[in-house]
Amino acid sequence: MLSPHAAAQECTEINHTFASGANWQLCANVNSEHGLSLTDLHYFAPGDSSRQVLEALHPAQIIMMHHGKSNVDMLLGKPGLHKPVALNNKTCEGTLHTISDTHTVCSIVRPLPLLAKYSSRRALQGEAIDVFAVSEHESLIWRSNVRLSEDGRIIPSISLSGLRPSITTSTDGSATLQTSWRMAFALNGDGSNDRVEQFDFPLNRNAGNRRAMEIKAINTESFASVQRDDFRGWRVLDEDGDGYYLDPQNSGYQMVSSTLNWAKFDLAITAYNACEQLADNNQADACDNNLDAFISGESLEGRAPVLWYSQSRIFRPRTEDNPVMSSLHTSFELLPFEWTASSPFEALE
Amino acid sequence: MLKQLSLLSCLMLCSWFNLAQAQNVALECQSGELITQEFENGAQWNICWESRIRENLILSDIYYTPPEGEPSLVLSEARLSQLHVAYDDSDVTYNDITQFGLGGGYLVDLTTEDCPIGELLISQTRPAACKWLATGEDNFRMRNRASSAHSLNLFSVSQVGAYAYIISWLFYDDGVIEPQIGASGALQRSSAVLTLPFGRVLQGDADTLWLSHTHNYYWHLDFDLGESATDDVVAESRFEFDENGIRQQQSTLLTTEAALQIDPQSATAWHILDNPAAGESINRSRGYIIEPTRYGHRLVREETEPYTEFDFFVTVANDCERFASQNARFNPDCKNHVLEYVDDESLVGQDLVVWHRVSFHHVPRSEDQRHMHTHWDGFLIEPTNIHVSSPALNGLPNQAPQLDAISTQSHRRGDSIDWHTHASDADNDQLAFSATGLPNGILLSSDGTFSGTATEYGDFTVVVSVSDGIDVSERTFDWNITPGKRSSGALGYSWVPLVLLLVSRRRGRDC
Ligand SMILES: [Cu+2]
Repeated sequence: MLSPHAAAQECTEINHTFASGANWQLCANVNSEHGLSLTDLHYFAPGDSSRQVLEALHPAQIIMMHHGKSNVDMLLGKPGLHKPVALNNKTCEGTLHTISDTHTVCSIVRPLPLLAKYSSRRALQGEAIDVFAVSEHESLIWRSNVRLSEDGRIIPSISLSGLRPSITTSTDGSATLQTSWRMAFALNGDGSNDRVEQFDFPLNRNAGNRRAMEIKAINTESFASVQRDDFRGWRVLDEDGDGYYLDPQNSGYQMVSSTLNWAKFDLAITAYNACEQLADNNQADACDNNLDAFISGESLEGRAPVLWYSQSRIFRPRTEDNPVMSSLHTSFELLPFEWTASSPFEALE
Repeated sequence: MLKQLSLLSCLMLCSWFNLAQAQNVALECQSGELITQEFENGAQWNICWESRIRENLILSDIYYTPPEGEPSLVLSEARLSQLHVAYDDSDVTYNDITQFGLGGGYLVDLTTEDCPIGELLISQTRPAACKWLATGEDNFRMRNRASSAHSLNLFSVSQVGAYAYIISWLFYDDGVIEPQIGASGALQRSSAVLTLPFGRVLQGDADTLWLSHTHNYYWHLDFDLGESATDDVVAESRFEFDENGIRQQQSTLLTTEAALQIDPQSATAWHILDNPAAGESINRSRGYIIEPTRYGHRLVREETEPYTEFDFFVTVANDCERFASQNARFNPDCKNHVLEYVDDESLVGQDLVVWHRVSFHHVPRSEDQRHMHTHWDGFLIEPTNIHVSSPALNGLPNQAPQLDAISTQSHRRGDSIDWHTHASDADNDQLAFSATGLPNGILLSSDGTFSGTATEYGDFTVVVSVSDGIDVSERTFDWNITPGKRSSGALGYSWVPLVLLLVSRRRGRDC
């Protein structure tokens, strides 16, 4: 069997330069275990140089917990559990990248109106490039998309559609969805000197409702949760302080599971291990099965950090989902944070 | 014989769904200007808009017409009701709408550069808003078909201090409404005390600490679904685990005014329903749902702003209750904030208003300097059971699968059967086969393989169906099984299949 890592090498290069001169460069592929697979993501801000942000970015699991049943379906796992869906000119309005008959990736440039606006100064109209692949499992079809914006933001998303799951006597058809992504950082090309910090902003009710910011270094593999009242975010930075910020602003529901411990957490941080590809149902030989086992107290010192971020929604069937499900969507944002000394568009004004 | 049955038409005829009653769509606005937008799939929006000195964009008489449906009122008014900004040092708090305002002198005149692919809209001689058609995320996706969400986007810009707020509304071709607000411009507050733990020093400016803060956006939505403004109800939905670890929905109809919190573990959502029948499940009622998807932060300061403890409010419509906070500044005889509006009034038979809050905690970064990128916040108001079927499919009709002809089959009882039917589908959808009228002992798998051994003999009329999940094609063929080999000594039981055959032939398609 071809290992997923060997397959990752035959990727298609996507290199897009925007009108401002900003550029994204990456390699895209479809992987038999997790579908869309992006590697070696480099961002070039106008006036800067092209610098690597991530070594790898891909979906790490999609869970459907059908209500009325206690088991959960995992859509990602060993080859064959889900199938890549070949894209064509009806399903890819942009550029079709063919890796093989069934392995296709689509890239499409989209406008980002009002990227910035200040008073009577003309608005900055930006663009982003979307890179996506489509997979199916039984009647479900989903698009895994990564939006790379002209100002350096990385926005992974999953849109779940396909035929609506059947309604039986024991269930109304509703389901809990959880999507997870794996982000292997390599800021400025070398992940081993990257560090992870947790920003906390605890509300001090006894001191006039002030929120003093606390920065905690995350030195060992661990899980973390969103703090809705006290506020929290995570920063990955290299030795020069250049970095990206994961703000869990788009976190809505909290996954609840009596069987999957890892799925209850919004974030997991692990040390880079090439055989840890999926948050659960990880099929690689000689490698653990899920995040609960990956997180073994290992030190992150001198190791490239990998972030695993999860989001949950509820599928509630309506006539609008009949016969085809209106897409159920999750997305989040990785924000350049001290990646450049000012807005990447400062030089353009 | 080739016959195609459409599950869609079946649903339209058989479902409990009642078509919206035709209503008169406002062709003239009571206040403001009319915007009408029809989409390729046949969906249409009619909206009146105006820019007012306090809230800036005010939308009213918002009608939605589903594809092939009738226009129906959704919201009689929709607007922002406060823009509350609280700094992490707690020294300064802004209530922008009541302290400054988003319209009048704070409204930014737009140019064609702000609205390059749209149309500038004029309010009292000023280019106050831009209207354009946006393409968004996937609406639905099948193997060979997909559609993006198309929407009418209306936005206006207000400059308040250093911040430029983009007040934006999206109306989608599948009936979804997305209120949005973008925060751009420049950072507002800083301190020269660099050691304060309430902000960050940014590159290129070593003497300034820029302060972290939270933007709290409050929307005011006066839903008036359908013909009557006083027959709507609001229900809260939660999903809880029972003792067997099974997740079940619980719903509560709100009968008195309420201030509510999101519980992320219970997947709280709110349904606004149009006159549901007694005992009808909220999942089957016509209306709209608000499912909170941006809930990473929520600002709570109970002592100073007690209303911040809640995320969603349902009140009886009252002209006196205009702003989510600092209301008494402009309405001195009225209550002051949205939590005070929740005062046990009955919601039954009343015109209801919902208030929803979304928070954004802003930690300054060097990239915010000068061209602060627009940070978008908002939520979705999604239709539930407003359409008879998937609205996005209206532009992209399904092509039914085609079953190959099947010739008359002849076998002997006891023969081992293994042959395939074949079908094609122009949309390359996943196909599932099924059959009725088969001789006992023979099965058809969902991939179209007949297998098994007939345990009876006779002439059978078999109906094979293939479905792509949307449409079904059928073919009928004759299958003659001769006595041939007899299985394990049973005698004369060919009566039984004859009875079964009659039963199976009478079975119609029911929904
Ligand atoms: Cu801000």
